[in-house]
Amino acid sequence: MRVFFRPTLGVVALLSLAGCTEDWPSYGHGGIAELRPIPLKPEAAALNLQLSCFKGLIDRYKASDAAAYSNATLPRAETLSARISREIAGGLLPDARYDMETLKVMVVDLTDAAEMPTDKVDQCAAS
Amino acid sequence: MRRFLIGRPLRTLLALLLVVLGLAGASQAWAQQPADGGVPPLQAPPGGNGNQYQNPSANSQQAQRAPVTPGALQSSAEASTPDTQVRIGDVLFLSLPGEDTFNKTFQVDRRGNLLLPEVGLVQVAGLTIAQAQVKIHDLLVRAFRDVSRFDLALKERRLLVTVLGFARNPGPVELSGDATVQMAINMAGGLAQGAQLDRMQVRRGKEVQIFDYKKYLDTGDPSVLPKLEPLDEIFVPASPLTGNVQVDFDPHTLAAAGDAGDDRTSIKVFGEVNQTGSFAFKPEATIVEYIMRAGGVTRFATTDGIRVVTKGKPQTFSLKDYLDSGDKKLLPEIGPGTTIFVPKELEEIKGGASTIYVMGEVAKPGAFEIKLGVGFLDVLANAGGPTRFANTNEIRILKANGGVENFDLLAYTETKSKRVAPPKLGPGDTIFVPEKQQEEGGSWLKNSPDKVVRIIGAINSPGRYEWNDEMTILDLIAEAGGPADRANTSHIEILPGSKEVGANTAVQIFDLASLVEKGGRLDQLPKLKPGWTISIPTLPQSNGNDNRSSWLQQPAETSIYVLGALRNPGRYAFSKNMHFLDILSAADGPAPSADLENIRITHRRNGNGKPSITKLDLTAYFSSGDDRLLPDVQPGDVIYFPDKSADWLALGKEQTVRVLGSVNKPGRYKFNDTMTLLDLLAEAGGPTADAYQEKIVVVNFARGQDQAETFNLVHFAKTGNFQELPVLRAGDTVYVPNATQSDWQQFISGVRDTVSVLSIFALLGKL
Repeated sequence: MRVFFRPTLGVVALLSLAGCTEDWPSYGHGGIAELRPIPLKPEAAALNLQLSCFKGLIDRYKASDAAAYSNATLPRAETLSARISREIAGGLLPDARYDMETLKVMVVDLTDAAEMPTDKVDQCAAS
Repeated sequence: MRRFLIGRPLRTLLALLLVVLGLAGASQAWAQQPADGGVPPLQAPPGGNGNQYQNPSANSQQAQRAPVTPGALQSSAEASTPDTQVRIGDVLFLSLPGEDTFNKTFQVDRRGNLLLPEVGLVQVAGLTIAQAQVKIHDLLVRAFRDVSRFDLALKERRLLVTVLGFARNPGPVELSGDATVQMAINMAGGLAQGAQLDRMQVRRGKEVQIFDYKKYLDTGDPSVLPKLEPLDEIFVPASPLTGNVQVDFDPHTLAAAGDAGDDRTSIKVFGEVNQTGSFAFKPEATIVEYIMRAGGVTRFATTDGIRVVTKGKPQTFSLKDYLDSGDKKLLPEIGPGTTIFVPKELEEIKGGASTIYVMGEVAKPGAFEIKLGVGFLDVLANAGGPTRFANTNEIRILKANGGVENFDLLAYTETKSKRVAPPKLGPGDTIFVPEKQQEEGGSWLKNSPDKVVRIIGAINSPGRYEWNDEMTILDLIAEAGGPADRANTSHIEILPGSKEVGANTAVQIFDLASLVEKGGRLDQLPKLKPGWTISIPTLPQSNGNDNRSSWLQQPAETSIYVLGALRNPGRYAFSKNMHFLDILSAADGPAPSADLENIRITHRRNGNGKPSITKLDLTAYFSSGDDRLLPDVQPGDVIYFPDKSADWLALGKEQTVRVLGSVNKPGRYKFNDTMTLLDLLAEAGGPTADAYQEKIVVVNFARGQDQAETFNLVHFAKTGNFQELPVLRAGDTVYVPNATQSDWQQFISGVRDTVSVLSIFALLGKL
């Protein structure tokens, strides 16, 4: 009886370890963060605040008379801001900072088109 | 016959009564006249009185309408006395009361007789009234029983004259006693056409009196007209202008031929006047008046050599000098019978020390006298100026000393800044105005190659055109009829002539299309010179594909290349004024399979700088309408439209997402930031049946921190929590593991392996 108990116990232990061999990455999130935002870490929240400032300028442009004229920068800026939102939510903060610079250029272009003061853009960039 | 014994006053009263009531038996008395041995009426007097001879009843009616009394009769005639002499034509009233055939008027006929009933002809002309009364009374006594109450009175004086000659109705006329010549002419129907007014005659027996009836008409002076006497003859002569042959003539023509009534004294004007003729001499008239009456001189007349012959003495009169000076002393003497001749200006060969000659295409070529101060334009104007065939660009002046000068009159009249003064002329010089080149069929020999510019190619009238420095290339193109329909006016080539070879043989390019569309400075147009050649290329047919041979005619520097997924790719003519959409439309737009998001434009810059490439997302342009997205394309650039089904190698790894593992369509997929992982899985056909959907792995390609995340599709499907979607961007990789890679399957596999090993060991232990 004791001889049988020892090998059985070893097999169970072996089988239990067999179920713990796979190492999958953690679950992701923020894949559609521009529409379904998620709680952010403090560092990401600061970056998200800057993005929100730029989005505010984009919205001001859309409310101005200049929006009546064709400007391909607007859809590109909106698409890029959505990308940055996802990157911030997904933890891709270096990419988000890089794309934020591109977004700043686009927002400057829209600000000029709407004849708005450009110091607002600088304020957003410094936030 | 009835006899009445009534007192004289009563007889007169009775006579009046009889006249009023009418004498019913008068006709019977006239009917008995011939039977009484009287003289029948020989001639009916003219006028109304003639009726009483032909129709006594009418005479009776007239007597009833106009009853007269001796007193009334005498008051209507001129005041007569018993001593008044009876004249031919006088109307006498014979009163014999109780006698029907009397108590009426009787007229003294042209022979001076009265024709009385029962008595016959009684000569009374020349007698006084009293003598005539006595004479008639004595005659009546023989025929009538009681003539104590016979009376005679002068009722009316009448003139019996004759109008002859150029009257409408010539013949005897009867007038009132105080009638004038004019009344006589009117009674004769007026004057006939061609009557000579100023030399009319009144004939009285052998006496002829000439009077100026025209003068009477002009002045109204009755003293001009002779006083008429009975039996006078008024003769109206014919104008000498009527000729000796009777023809119908136009009175206007007759008047135009002059008004002279006497050839001997009339003024004859002939020669270069508008209406030659003979005109009546007027002592106060001058030669100018006679020329004016002749209608003035014609344009062929010489006004400085008018010949005047007066009294057999010829002299020359210069009308021009008189009109210039107004000096009446220059007027020649004009007398009766003067002859004035205005000669025609003779064309004579002129020459001499002060002569200049004009020939060629002028209105009046010839020789002209030149005086001090007369210039080139004066001479040309006197020659009538150049005709419309004249080549005014190259007027030549052949100098008397053998030299030749050219003068451009056209440039002189049009260009102020470069105006060259007309050449100075001298005696003996010749101005030659050549004929300009014919527009069609002119011989090229007329213009040497160094004076023309050739224009060839797509022009309506290619050829050689005479060049002038005042012209521009626009003038030349216009002269050649303008560009043809398919002319490429944006690339006009200008080839210098042989004189410029070695100095500047480069072909100039002139963009006329740009100048016309955008404007420009005309002073910066290409400067052409004689001997140069202009070539206007032809555009290819409708597009670059249908006639490839025409591509050779299209310069490469004006072409653009459109390749790839278009409906009509090819080589197209393009100018700097066009843009991307022009060439896209020329190529009939992209094909359905074109990848509009990845259009490539190669800017070759035609050797002016490094080539560069522009990527164009045409869908972004169509969605935004922002023209700034369209690239600035230039001739020589290449536009490439890729096909959607192109090899994926053409896309970089940053542009696609790789989908691996247990999906129905693994591969590389285009992905943009508006898509999610769900879109990608759907594009890849979804996970397979054996996919491990709880652990879909996303590997992010990020800067400095590559990371991987998992996505539980099964859990997402149960909860619908979009926050669980991982971040996915172009360049990332998605791996969908197989179910065998799940933890449970791994565990089961491990158990199965362990059991298998233990079973082997157990069998070995039994053995």
